[in-house]
Amino acid sequence: MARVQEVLRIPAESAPVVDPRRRRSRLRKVALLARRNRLGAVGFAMMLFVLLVAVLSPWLQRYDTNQVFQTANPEFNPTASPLDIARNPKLSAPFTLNRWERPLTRQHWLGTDQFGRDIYARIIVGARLAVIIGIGASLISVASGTVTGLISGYFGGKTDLTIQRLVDAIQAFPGLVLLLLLVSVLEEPNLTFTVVALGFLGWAASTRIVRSTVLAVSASPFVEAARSYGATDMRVMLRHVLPNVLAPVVVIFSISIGIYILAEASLSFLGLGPADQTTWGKMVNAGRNALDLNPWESLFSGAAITIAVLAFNLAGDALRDEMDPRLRGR
Amino acid sequence: MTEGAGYRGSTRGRFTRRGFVRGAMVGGAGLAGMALIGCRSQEKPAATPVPAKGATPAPKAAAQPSGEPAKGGISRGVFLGGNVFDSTDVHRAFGDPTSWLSNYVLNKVVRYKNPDTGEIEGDLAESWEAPDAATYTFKVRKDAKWQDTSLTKARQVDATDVKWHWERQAAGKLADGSDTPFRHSSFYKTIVKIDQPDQFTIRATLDKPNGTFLDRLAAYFSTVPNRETTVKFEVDHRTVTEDAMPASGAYTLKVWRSGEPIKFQKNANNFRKGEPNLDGWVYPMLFEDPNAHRVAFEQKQVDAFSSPDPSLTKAIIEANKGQMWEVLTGVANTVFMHLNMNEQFKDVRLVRAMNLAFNRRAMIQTFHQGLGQVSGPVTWLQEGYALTPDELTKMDGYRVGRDEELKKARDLWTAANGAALGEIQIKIPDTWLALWTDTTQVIPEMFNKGLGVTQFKSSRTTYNEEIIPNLANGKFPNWFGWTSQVSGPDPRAGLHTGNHSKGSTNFQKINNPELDSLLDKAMLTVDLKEAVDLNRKAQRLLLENGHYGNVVLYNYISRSAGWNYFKQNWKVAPATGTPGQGYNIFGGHLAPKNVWIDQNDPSFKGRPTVTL
Repeated sequence: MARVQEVLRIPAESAPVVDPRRRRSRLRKVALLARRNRLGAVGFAMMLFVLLVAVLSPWLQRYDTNQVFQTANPEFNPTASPLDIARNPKLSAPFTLNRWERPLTRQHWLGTDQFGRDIYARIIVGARLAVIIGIGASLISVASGTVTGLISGYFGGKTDLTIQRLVDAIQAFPGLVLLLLLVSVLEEPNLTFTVVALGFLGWAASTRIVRSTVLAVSASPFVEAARSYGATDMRVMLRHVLPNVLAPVVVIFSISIGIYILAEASLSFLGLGPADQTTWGKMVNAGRNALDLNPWESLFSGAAITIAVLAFNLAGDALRDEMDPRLRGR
Repeated sequence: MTEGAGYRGSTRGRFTRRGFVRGAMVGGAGLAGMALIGCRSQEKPAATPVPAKGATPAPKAAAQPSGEPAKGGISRGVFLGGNVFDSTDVHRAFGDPTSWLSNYVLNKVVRYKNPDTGEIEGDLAESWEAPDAATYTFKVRKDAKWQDTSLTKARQVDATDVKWHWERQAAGKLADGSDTPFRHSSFYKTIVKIDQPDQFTIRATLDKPNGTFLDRLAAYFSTVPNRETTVKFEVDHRTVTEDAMPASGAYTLKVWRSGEPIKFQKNANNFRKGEPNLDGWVYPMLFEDPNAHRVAFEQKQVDAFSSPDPSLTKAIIEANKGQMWEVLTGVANTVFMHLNMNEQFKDVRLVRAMNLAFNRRAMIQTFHQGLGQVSGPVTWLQEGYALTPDELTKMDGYRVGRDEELKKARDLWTAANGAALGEIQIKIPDTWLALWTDTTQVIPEMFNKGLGVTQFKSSRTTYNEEIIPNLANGKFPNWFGWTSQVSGPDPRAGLHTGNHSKGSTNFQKINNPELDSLLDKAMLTVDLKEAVDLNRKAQRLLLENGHYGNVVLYNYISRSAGWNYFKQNWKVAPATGTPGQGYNIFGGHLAPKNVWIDQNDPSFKGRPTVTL
């Protein structure tokens, strides 16, 4: 029994005290890992870049996302007749918008959109929103999925049956259709709701994955041992099962971020994203109406989506490879 | 959820990253596909045109006796954002689409020969007499018949139909005696006596002389529906069906169903012989997405196009030089902001502040690239009555100097404790957002910056689900978008209905005795100069009070393009290198006479066949 306790309990005093030599060896380990999984390393670097951009966006964005750039218009005539304005639209306002400016100018690195707003600033702010939505929705889906997956897999029986049929019901419904339904019918699409709706839809899949891992872990001898010495279900679940299902949970979490970023972009593209926020999906949508005249807005925002999704997918992939002993080193 | 496939796969077999990522990719592709599918019609798309040899063979056009080509064909068009009907009952529809559609199918008592100038001619009436402005006698034509249905049995249209049309709206009651909102009831209530000396004669006696009576009867919303059918569909009036609107006019409704293309077919029994030219119209239920509309236009799947971005239309015309026409048209659907004075904006100083803070000229630039002009309570389309541009630019909300306007706005906002309103939602209808996606950012930004606050937010709404059902009960949201189009060149009746304490569209419950008096007097007079003077006084009063929450902003000018083979309904026809002019005020009823497909025009080559 003492041996079992020794195996299962991690004493508080065992908290690591990192000495410099050990830190150096960790850095070496990271370098080794990066060399072994170059694609993963690229993914992590890209992910860090996206996260950094999101965190530092207030300092990086240069302009307010809604700042409209305009030029004084000497032709303005407030009393011009509509017929004259039809012939010369410059008569209608004391300024003209600097719309669709080309990229790579000192003032507008990525050009301006149809309303004369800086595309670079909007993409930077969009990154923050993408990360908030991606991480927020992943947290909700993974956290809730872990709880229900744990309960379902550990207790089995009717509890498992009930939870799994609910999961079946949600998964049987086309995900995007359900999402569109939620967003368009139940609530105005604000940021919080978008995050919660995406997280809710991911819950079912997280539950199923966690449950399957719990089923495997629950049958392990150390769980049997913990039960045999009289540990409560709660203690067994939290102290013995949960730590052993964390690896797939971390992987689901990291890969889901990219998927949620993509899902939010799709919602925004369809006009159902957060209405009052600058999002990449909305930018792709806004820019595509005049792709042949000004492709920049769609192009750059599309590229941002690609980079972010790729970054989180590659990083999640690499994490999976490292955490699964069967794939390690492949 | 997009990842669902990946997750499901993992539980059946092993949880692999490849499966997971593949699932994500499939999901992503699915989303992209969904986006595209969302832009497409449920109707089978017409074949992509192929040039010259493979072009869809055009039926050989028969020559007119004069040597001109036969005027016929079936047109495919797009009514952007308009295929949304709140009722099949033209009397009870508060949205414009039903009225728009009814102008192809039904007749009015009289109609505009030229909607922009207000010249009136008979429609169902072959003649009329008005010895004074309080008595009008109409002789109904004898050759107008209802479309043959089990309810109408192809009977003649007669004075009884007109009598019912007036009486029903004045009473504001359904056949079972229940009360219901009728959009124009206050106007019809002014008819105090209706006589019908014989089957084809009807006389209206008004409570007092009304110089705008004929204008109202000629307006686009004054079509006379079939009484038996309308009564039968009273309960189901929100379910669109072609059976609910049998025709008496140029076209019959072949298909009018939710989610299906609207199809009009030439009415062989139209009393106007030789009309309509077109054999039919097809209005697909698509193109909430202007990009899809544009592609369809370039492929000649639709015959005309107007982008929300006028520069795009211009670019398409330039790219197809010599094959397309360009027409500029003032858009009668006026851009408004409605602030609910029954609920959030009870203090008139708040709506005055909002009127000042709205930067009309900036929005004309932002959304329409400068193609538009600010409008006062009477829009510039009704030029004769509108305040002069000189005067308007000295009024609150219209000055050129924005600093002065914003200072005044902030003072008013502070004085009326605007901060106490908390979060203020200015909602935008989805049909507007389909054209100008970022409006939900642009509008709150303008107010937050202008008033120096952070309380303005914006989100999506719909006309049929949130705005229209809540107009009569006064619980409508604050919203920005289009409001009913200007119906004719004389604005008096519209101004009266919307702003008079007894007006049937006075949803803000305005009650200003001075305003009432001016509006009443303006309606009574038959002296045009006096009418204009009184009307302008009423406008000044409205402006002093921030339009009482119905803040008129501007009217924009739409640039549209069409293939040369498509002969349209123009006020001034386009010529090579010179844009034409469309009717600023809705002239849909004139389409049967003016619109046709010229199959001999070189641009017709490659147009896919359109069938009803």
